[in-house]
Amino acid sequence: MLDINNVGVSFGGVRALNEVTFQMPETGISALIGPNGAGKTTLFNVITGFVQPTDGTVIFAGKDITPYKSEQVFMSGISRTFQNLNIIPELTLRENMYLGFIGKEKPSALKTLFRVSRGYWKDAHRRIEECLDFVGVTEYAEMLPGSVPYGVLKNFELARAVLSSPKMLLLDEPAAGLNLAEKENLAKMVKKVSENNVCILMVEHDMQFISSLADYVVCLNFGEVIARGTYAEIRENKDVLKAYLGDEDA
Amino acid sequence: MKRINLFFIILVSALLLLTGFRVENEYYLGVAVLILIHAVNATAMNVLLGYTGIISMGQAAFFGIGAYTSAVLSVTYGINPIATLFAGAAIAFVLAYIVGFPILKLHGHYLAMATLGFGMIIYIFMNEMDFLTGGPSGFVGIGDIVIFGYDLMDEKTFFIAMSVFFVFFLLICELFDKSFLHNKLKFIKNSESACRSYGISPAKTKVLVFASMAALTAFNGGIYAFYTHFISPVSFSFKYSAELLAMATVGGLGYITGGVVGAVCLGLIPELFSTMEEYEMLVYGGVLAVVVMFFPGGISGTLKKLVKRDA
Repeated sequence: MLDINNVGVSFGGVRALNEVTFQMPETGISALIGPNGAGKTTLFNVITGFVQPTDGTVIFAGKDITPYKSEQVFMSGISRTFQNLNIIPELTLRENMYLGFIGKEKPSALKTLFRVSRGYWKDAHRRIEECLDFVGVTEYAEMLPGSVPYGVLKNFELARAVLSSPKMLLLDEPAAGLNLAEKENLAKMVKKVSENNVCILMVEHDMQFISSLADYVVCLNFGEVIARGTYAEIRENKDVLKAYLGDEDA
Repeated sequence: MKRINLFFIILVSALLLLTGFRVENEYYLGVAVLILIHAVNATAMNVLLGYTGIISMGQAAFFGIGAYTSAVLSVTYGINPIATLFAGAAIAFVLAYIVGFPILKLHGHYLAMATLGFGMIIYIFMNEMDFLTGGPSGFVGIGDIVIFGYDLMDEKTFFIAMSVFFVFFLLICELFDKSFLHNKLKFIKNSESACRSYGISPAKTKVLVFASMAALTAFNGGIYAFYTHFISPVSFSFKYSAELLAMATVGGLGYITGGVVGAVCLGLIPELFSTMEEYEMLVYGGVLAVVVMFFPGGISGTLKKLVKRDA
């Protein structure tokens, strides 16, 4: 599904990523791990078109998406969530959901203004109800984000990301800031999304969360891939232990 | 979809009707026409800053472009006044589109400085191109507008025509405010990176909004030229852009009623404090400071909160 080939990124004199290469499986959940500053977010930004790599290519579903802008990456079937929630505080969750729809199925501005595209909005409304229901946040749909628990907002972000029916979903630290019960609930939702033929790649620090979900794990350190494989393989990998715990402990 | 705020439109229409029927004094009718013109411009400023997050200190320039285009085309070239209004809007649209692409990549103070610079350049052109604009002495002899055979030559007829235009304009604004276009702009204002990752191009949308508001302001500038029959660069200086910003802020940024409420409140200050003219700016600044410090949503935002609390 996603092939990262010798991707390198330099910010001035700093080499953030160096010859990063891995292939993500066609289906299932993969995780990108590594200590702080390993280059995980930079790689996420390369895949989603926010950062142009200095070298290498990103191939998605057989297409070279390396030069794509983020809007084009989205149109090609990759959706993402953010570590910091991007939800408009003065709009209800349902109104916020529409923003996940209008990017893919672009409505005509004039038709929207004069309310003559009722079929389009009816379709949008139906899809939104389905997605809200899918992650179990329908009861909060009419509420403003400020009055909704953080765990619900994380599920909501997931619902908005799948609204455009992506082939691949990138989750940026989905479990950050959640309590145990919320994490378990989110893990169930992520699994449910994955079972609907959506390939998932997540950046996460919570190893328990990763162990419960990820089929394939890639570990980065100082911008380079130091290990890849199943969670069990990664857990035993000496280089990974060294990266996380230091020389002596490893 | 949300319902449009018919109460506000009916209230404004009733006030305009009442003014049209009851007020005979030409001076007061003139003040009302100018407030309506300011209200349209302040609403355009509100759509830019309150909805999309674009701080434009060059709105006066677009107002001037519309006014001078109408004046020059109708007086010098004898073109139909109504056609000149659209010509001014088209020129402003194209110019804003060209200028918007590079400068709308900037944000905050940098964007304010860039639009201010654009406004200053246009202001200098208005002053220096005296063969076309009449220079600092202004452009005289602008005629009347004739709509469907009616010559808008006196204050009353002009007020009625402007009121009809204004109510139509408010209706469009309400439709915009209650449509998902408004949500899209607020999404862009909130997070451009999130927009891009949801397939929305903030750059294209912002340029289109900037150019559309420039066209609207220029169209309004043409109306202003035909109303006053005389224009000079002083009316289109940076000071007017700052006044529009103050009107939008006092009225309530991000509320479609904001521009109208702000234009009425600040437009009346020169009339209410005419006996102490030298302190006018002090009152202006005082009102702005009080609103910014104690009522961050402006008058409209504060009223909306009060209504919601009581409901």
